[in-house]
Amino acid sequence: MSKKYKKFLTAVTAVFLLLFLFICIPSFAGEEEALETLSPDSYIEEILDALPPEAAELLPKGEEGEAVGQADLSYVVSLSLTFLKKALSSMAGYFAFFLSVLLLGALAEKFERAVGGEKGGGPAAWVALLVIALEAFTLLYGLFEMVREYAEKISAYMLTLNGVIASVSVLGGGFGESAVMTTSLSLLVTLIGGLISALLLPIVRLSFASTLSSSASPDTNLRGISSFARSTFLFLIGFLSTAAVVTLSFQTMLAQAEDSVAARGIRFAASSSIPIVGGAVSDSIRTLSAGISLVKRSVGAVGIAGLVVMTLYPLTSLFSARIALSLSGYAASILGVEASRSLLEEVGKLIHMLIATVAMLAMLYIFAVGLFASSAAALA
Amino acid sequence: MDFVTYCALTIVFVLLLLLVRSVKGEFALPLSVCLSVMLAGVALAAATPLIEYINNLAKPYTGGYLSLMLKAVGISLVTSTSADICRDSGENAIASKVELLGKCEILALSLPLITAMAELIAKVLEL
Repeated sequence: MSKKYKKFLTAVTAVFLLLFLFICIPSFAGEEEALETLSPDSYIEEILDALPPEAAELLPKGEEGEAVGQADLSYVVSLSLTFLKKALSSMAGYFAFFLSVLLLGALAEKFERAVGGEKGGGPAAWVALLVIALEAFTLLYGLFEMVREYAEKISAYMLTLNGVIASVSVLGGGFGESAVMTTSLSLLVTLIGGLISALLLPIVRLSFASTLSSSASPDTNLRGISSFARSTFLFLIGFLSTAAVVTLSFQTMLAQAEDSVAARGIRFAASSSIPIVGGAVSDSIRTLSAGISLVKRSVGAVGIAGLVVMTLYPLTSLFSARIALSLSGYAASILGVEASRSLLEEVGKLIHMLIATVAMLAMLYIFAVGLFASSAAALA
Repeated sequence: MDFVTYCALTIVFVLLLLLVRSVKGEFALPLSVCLSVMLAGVALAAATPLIEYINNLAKPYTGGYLSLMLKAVGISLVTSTSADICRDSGENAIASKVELLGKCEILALSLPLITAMAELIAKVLEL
């Protein structure tokens, strides 16, 4: 071949190579942009913004990556101890108040029995019972409002995760999984709302009414109704949480199977149909999936840290109130003030129901975040 | 004076009362009333540390209900003492009226509690 032809072929090859480079650079840049938008910081910031301000203040300070890295077991333990200290002081306060009213009520009952015989306490003992009932039910009302607020925060937080899950899953090729996860999370949020409004509220009202009327008139014993309502509620939330967990597990297993097939398909198409750079695109999908799994691990940790700061306070408050009421009930039985004892026990059982509700909401949320974090394995 | 001394003095005064009743019956009732009031005062003095303890224990955590309770217990004590004195004098009708007065007084005292309870019931129904 003559020198002229060699030079001509070299020039044409160079032009073609340059043209291919111009085509490849935007797609690489696009992938880098995609990788940048998938960086942990942007999503963590979005999720942190969704936390209530009082919960966000309790997270470890620092850059989002560091903050997430510090949300480990020792952080959770130190946060638990802080909340426990506050809960213990409020528990001591409630117990002190109930004990003092019980002592005065027992004194009043003794005076009135001395006058009226063994018929029972008179108006002063009735006033003591009224004071205890008022304080116990005010405490219960405050705790119920706290549980309702907690349910709303959890729902809002899960809805934020919904958007993150959808966008991350779609970018990573998890089309089926994205649809399943967003649907499942929406279902969970609806379930939470329905649980509070349709189940918990009526039962709180019914139990409040039956306890109050039984306390006001010892001959009227309606405690059986509230006991039946409570046990039905506990059964229902146990059943609903089991059903939700089983359904989500099955859906996620199927979605993961679909996504691994979809991801493999994309890699094969990329490597075989795009000339020269097809192999590089196929390789970058591996990088993409590693990035997604890092994001999901990071978001999962933020999700758990957010749940911990939101859940610990209501749980410790509920437990401290329950303990205070139990101790006051024992004190009432020692002092022989039976009407107050049964009232305090009934209110304590209602708080037990609220504890079960908070535990179930936290469990559903942890399950949702766990599914989210584990779904990265399908793209590996 | 300690508790045993008070009990011993009470027994001595009761024996004196029996003696006075047999000699001059009309002086027995005033003596009985004085003795009852004195013993009620001693009981209140003995209960003062308890009441102060209860007050200090619950004061930071209560919104005025404790003072209401203390008034109710005080009214109950005064009513029961008055009713007993009336019965000892053979005036059962007056004793029952004194008890009725005490009950009405305590119920009137508990009106803020009843109002607060009614408001709480309304709040729960509005949930």
